[in-house]
Amino acid sequence: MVAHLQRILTDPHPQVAGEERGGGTGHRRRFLIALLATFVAAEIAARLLSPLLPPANAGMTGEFDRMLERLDARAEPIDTFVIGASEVAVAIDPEALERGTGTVDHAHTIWMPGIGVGTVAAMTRDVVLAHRSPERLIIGITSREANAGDLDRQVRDAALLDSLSYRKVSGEMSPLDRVDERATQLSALVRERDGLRSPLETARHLVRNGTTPVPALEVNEHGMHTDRLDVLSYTETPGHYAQEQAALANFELDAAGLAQLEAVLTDANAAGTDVVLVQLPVYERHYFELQPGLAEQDARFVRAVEELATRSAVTYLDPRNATSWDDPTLWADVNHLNGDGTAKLTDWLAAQLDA
Amino acid sequence: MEAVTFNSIQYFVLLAVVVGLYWQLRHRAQNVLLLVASYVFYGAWDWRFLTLIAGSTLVDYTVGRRLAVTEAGRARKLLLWSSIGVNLSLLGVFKYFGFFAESLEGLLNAVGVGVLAPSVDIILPVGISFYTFQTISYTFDVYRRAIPAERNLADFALYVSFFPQLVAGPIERAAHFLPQITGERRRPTRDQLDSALGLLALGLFKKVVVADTLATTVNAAFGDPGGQSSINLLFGVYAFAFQIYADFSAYSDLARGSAQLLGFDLLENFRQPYLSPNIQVFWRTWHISLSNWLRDYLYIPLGGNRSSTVRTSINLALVMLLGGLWHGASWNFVIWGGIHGALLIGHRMLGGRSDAPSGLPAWRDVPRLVLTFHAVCFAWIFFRADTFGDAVAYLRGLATGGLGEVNLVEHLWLGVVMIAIDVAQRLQRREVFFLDWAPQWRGVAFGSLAVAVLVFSGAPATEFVYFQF
Repeated sequence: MVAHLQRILTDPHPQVAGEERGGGTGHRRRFLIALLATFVAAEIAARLLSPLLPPANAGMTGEFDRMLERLDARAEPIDTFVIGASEVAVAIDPEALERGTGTVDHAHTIWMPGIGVGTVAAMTRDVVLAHRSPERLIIGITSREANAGDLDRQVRDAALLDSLSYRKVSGEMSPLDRVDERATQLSALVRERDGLRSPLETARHLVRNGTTPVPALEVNEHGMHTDRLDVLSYTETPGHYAQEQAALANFELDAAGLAQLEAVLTDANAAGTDVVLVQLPVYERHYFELQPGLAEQDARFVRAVEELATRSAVTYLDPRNATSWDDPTLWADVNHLNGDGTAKLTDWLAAQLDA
Repeated sequence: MEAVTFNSIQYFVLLAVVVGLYWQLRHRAQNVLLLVASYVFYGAWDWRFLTLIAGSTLVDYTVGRRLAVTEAGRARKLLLWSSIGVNLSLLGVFKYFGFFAESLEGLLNAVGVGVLAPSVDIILPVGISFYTFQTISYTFDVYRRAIPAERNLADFALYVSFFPQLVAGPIERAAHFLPQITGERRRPTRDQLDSALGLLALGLFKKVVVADTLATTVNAAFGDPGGQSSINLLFGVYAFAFQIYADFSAYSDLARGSAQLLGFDLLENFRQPYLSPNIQVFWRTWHISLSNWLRDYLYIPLGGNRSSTVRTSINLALVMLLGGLWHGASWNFVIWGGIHGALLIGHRMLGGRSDAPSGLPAWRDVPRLVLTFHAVCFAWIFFRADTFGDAVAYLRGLATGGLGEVNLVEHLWLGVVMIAIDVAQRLQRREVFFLDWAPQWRGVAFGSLAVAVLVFSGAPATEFVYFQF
């Protein structure tokens, strides 16, 4: 069989060294037609396969795109942006903030899950300040976002900041990115790359009769994360607990990320934007048990954030000192508030903003 | 200016500009253009690296010229050792200083002498291991009067810095490469052009499609061996075996393809290593230019296999330990070399055959082939793990991780693709196995490689693994 295949494939007019490959122009024409036909066949195959392939807009960049779409869909001019990771996205309700204060007309949350403080700073600069002129920024952080020892988080952050979607919004698209973007519009081969290069994932998708939903986060039109609001009381799942443990292992204060945040906040403050830095509460009873020595590391982080706020002359709010959060009925898990906790924090914040 | 890697658009723009100009020029101007392009290419990483490569070039050029006019044996030896001393000192300072300082600190602390090694932040110049070995081989060959000393400094500088193979080889020999530089005006033959385009397409395919995709599996397995099942860790090692093969042979293909566009032939670096029925054949087919260098400039001068079995075994062990250390300043690389040394010694003691087969292995050879592959995979664990502790943790995970989840299998089909390429190369007896096919099938082969590169190019690109050595 192998010999038969070789006979079919082999050039019947092999080249003499240094000379034109046997057949000259005719051979070249056959070569080029076959080359082109392969591309056309692949493109047709990609178009035919397209409905069968898993959705391409999953993962961090998919979420980032959806976040931008939600922001663009807000017709009214947004005067207050709430910015951070998932903790802030469940802790502060922008709609309640609009209703509960006299100083916020239209609020919106900009967030991505599991990002670090450096990426919070980058999004503040590139997604908000570069394109809009808000009156107020509310940045919420916990020590979870400031662990430089979380290497997985660094990889995810780097992938997000290096993605085409992010480069597009930050104005750092290269000419090659523009070609890639155009090719994505024109060619199914390029558009469906993620599905085409994951045959096993595609097979799994087909086994499920092509019903894999786009794995998307639950977010309302104000950008708020609504996933855990209806949890009545603290109920940690093993998967989430292990994830948070890993995120807080080898804790090392992310000085570079905090410096980036300080630079962005200082610039925003100097430009006349009212910047409010909120030290978000965590369910300390369980949070500090995630890793040995975490309470001390968290205290160092809180001091560093206080100093950062002082240096950049922005408003610093610490709800942890104002009221108790040691109540299971306020928490969905170790670092995300539930509906009651969110209402409590948002009411407290609204009162502070009006004060 | 940014560093230019072979899997970037910038490299292909540079190559196209250089090739376009080069074909129009006379011989001397061709060499000047290549020398300038090579220094620009290398300086793009860090312009300070240029002083090192220029210094190394000047030393070996001068030593070569002096050797040409020196007859006294003692003076010749002094010249040879001065060149080797300077080159190894450069390597010692820029690549191994931290390693030796920390190892000494650890040793002294272990015996109760509390010292703190000086902390010096030294950047590892890209490709230093490759061009240092290349210049040492030149001086050694001139010393042995195997080749004449090069008279023209620019030609010699080009031999040291030729950009297609500067940062990751193949490690060229003066006897093979210098005559190509000093010879007549070069235009690639039609066969060289076809082969060049084929090598570039194959190289891009191996890097973008195979190596970069397998990197995600490898990173997941080696990043958290404690959290993976045994079967996942086994797949992780397989994935690394094919990732490093695809990555490094891709670099060699791109280097050789680029050189062929300029009318040069570089040494072959890989010859289907995972089809090897024993460890000796593996080393005759894996990183051939390094294996041959170690054989000619270390193993044979040490006495090779000309004396007793014990002496031969010591020579083998020493060569493989140093070969391991050449890859990086870490005990893991030394252990990797040690494992290969032990395997080679064991193979010799068992009286194993060492003829490198040129055709496809017979069915009866398959068990030996599988055994050799797994022995190589075992050594790869030490090569890939960041520390000795990580390698031990990986081995422990392999032994005790249980069957558990199997989720690192997704990209392993790319290993099968690499084996299929090897089999096709053996069958066709040609690296670019589709070059002798009829034109329409050649077109389909080129088109398929290009489509695959297009589809896989959306994934994040990684640097070539061998750039770090």
